[in-house]
Amino acid sequence: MHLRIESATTYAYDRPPRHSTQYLRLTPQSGPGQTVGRWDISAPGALTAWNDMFGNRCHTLSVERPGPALEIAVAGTVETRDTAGILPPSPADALPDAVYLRDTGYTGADHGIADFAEPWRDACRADRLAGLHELMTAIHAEIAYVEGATSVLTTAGEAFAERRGVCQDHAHILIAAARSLGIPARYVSGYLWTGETGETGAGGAAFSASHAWAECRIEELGWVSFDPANGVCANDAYVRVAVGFDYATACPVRGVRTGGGGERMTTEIRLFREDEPAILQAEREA
Amino acid sequence: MLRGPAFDEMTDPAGGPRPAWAALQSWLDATPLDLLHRKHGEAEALFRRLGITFYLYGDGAAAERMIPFDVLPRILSAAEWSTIERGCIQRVRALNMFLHDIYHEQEILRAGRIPPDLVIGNRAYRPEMAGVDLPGKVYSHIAGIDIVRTGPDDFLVLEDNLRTPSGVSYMLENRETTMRLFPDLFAGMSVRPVGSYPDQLLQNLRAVAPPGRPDPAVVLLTPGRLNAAYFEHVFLAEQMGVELVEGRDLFVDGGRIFMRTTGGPEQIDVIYRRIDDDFLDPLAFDPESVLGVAGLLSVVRGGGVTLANAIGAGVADDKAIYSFVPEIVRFYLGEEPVLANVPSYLLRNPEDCRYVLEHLDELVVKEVHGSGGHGMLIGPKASRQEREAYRARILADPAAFMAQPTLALSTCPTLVEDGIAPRHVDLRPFVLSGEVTSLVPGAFTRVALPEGSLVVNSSQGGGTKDTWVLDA
Amino acid sequence: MLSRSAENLYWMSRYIERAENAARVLDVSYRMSLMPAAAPKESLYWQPAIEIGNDPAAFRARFGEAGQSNVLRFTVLDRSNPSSVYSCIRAARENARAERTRISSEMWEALNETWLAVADLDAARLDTWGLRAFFDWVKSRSHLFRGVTVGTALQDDAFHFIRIGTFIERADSTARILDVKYHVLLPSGEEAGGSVDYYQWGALLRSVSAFRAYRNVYRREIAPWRVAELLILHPAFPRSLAACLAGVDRTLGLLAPSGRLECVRLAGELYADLRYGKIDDIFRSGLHEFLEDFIGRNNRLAGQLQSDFMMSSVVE
Repeated sequence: MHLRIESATTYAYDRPPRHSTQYLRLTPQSGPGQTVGRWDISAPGALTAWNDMFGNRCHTLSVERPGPALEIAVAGTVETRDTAGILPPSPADALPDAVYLRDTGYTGADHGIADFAEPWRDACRADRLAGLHELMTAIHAEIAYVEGATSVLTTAGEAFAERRGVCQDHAHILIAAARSLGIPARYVSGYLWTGETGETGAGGAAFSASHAWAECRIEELGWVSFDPANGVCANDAYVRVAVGFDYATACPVRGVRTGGGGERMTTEIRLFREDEPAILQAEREA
Repeated sequence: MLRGPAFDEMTDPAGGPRPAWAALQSWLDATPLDLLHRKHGEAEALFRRLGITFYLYGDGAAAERMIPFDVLPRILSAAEWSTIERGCIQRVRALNMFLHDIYHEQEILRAGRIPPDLVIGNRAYRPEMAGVDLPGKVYSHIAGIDIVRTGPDDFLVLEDNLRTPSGVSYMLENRETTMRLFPDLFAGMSVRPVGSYPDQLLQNLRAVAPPGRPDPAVVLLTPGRLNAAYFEHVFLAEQMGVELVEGRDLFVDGGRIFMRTTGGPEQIDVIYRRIDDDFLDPLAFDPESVLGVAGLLSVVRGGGVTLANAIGAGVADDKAIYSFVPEIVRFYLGEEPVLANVPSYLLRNPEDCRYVLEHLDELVVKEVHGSGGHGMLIGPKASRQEREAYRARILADPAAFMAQPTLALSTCPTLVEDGIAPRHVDLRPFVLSGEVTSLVPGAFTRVALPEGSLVVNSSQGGGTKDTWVLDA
Repeated sequence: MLSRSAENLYWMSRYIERAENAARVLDVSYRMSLMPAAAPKESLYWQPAIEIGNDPAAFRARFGEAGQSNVLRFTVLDRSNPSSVYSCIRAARENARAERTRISSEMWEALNETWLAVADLDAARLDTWGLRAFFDWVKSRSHLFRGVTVGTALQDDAFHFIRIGTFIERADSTARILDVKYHVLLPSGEEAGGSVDYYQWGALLRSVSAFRAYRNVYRREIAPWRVAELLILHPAFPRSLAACLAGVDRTLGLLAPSGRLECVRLAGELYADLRYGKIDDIFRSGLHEFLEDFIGRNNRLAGQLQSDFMMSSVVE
């Protein structure tokens, strides 16, 4: 699938801060599932590129007295491929797998999640891929997708107790559950093309928020993606941008400001499909 | 070796002074007690005027306190010091190699010499540092090695402090004070000087600056005035002639760190930080931290600044790793450790756990990740109730605890209310690593002032002594 | 030097100066209220002390009409009013504490002792102290601190930032005192220059230590426009706007010799207007308008000083 992506993150300040520093994890990298074409980030200040511990391409943005608003815009193209959600082991994996067993503030498995996951322990031991599929399906069924019920600060345990949340919460719950079974798991932030099934805007643009899902380590395969919010493994509708232990370490934009007050952040993302969907092509040929 | 009466550092079993102490003994014989008490009063007045204080955090507001100072120096012979020096240098070299290894190839884990989960699962292991190459491969530029003595030749390492060890200001100020109080005694004993410590530290810090900076700028980063060791931060910054900065004085731009000055931004190359890892960068660690510098981690990973000590050095001084340090020395240096560990029991091992629970009244039990003498059980001194309460804590999470035998810490003569009496002491020399690893001939000696007490922590009523290393 | 240090030192001196000026204004209000021909309304004497302050609206909201006891509570004792004498002394001392290694030990001791004397001040203690004695004490502590500063501090950049803080705060204070008092003192409908109450004007001059200076400079009876001239334009009177701005201008010459900073331009411009200004012109276009404009420009200068020295940036 050939996707053109445009996103804009805007901070609006009631009182402009003195300084703003941001970590941006906005640059997807080419790999088995995707090839990145042109990719530009524009921001009102110098961007310094670096690689974080996960191998994500990051930028640090430092802006002195940014004024009343600060916008970070991204534009680029990605060619995606369906690899059935499988990402073979790569030298880019700098961290030992065992690190992905550590709890974080977001993904600590409380008794609720651990008890929920426990019945799949044996299944995962016998066949980790199949067991995780079942676990993902169970989480998908258990946790309702409800926008606005949770916030970016909600932990896996909190969302699980409420039995509802958005993709971030689903991903955290699956990660916490997998880790409680001794399976290394990590968080993926990226984009999801929903044009075929979701609401389609003018010019073939699908309006979508960024998406989040999980990856689990399966010995012989590598990292395998699971999207518990949709109950599927990632395919060519998914653009993988960054991975981390959880939302905090993988999120696209994370900032700290000094001074100022009253901050609101909004993000607008548009995906355009630029190749012709096979189904439309078939119709026209017919 | 470990039980029985404590080793008296000054007096031999026959009742006479050991050779290194002979001069002090005869001076004491000739000096009236009230003069010593008067000198003690002078020393306190001096410390108060200089503002040598630390903060204690109790129930309410932070209180400013002075650490009690004992005027009688502790004396170490040249031979004793030589053992300590060789042992500390060996240990810190090995620990720095260990740190480099676990953040890179992890050969020691692959070789099966340490259980990987003790390292990788450890909170103090910072994956953020994986694959980062540090100048000189130094992680702990300043290390404080806590040593206890149980016999003439028995110096044992009780604990390594590789994060932000404090106390060196006492080593330096105590020396200033004893030289002022007892010039004649000092002059007659050929004591090796310690005053070059700040210079050596500065030289080392400049040596580990990112490459390509001919005249690197060094700063000392403090959490601020309310920190327990703020006095030391001010003292060291002044002694080295570097700026004492807080996180809000610094910012990140273009992969470098800058300090806000009235003349505009100034680039900083090396940060001697006295802030814990968690608070260094709110974008990477604790997001609530206002002590750190947003973006700092990205500059560290990009090689634009050197932190001393490095992020993640704490994994090597964790009490669970501690029992593997002799193995670490053997693995990286191919040598036998000069200084032994205090034997310890890791309660994560069921056998050790069973033994410890059966011998709670003989052992000291500590939290694996704790520090500062808090949350520990001193078995022989604890009441039955205290032991039983502690037993319940252990059973809830055995892996969080370790135990050691109660050590009969050596004693040194100490001025107390009604004369001079032996009190238990420990020793913290400071090991500096830059281009080379070295230590100045001196240390921070802590003394447990209450009779019979074995707790030397300053937060628990410990005092300090000047430490004299003799030239010959 | 570190921007934070400059900022701490600058505010240290602004706060101690602010405490002194508050004491001066309150002293005058108190003295006037003791006059035999005291006005029927207590607020006539005490309201100006509130108007001169930074936040008269906060006072009105909490206390309504101004009287001796609520004004003293708000402007002397109130811990939550950042401009009360208590808060100013505390803030000056806190700023000094952060910079103990940059100031002389005498400076620290002068401020620390001042703070210790007011740390547990309340209405009863203030009463025991005596109002006149307390106001005199605050003034003398401020004089002591300034004297110790000039006599013991290394005259480096730190010293210059301390001086600038004093000048900026004092200029603001003199302008406010003149603005408020002038209109209170002029009976309605009275032209500037009409008959006025000698005692009232004498009290205004005393509030800025200008009574004797006025006599020496003018050797004439007290006239409102001459009072304004002394407090605004006279280069030799140390609390005049002209003298304060001359101090800022001179000190900036030492701090920023290249002169390229915006604050240097603002200070020079403001100083030039005072140096070459004529009192007739000021009255023609309105004294109140002039003072209001001055206070605004002085504030902008203060903001620019902070922005130029205390919030440095890579991108200039």
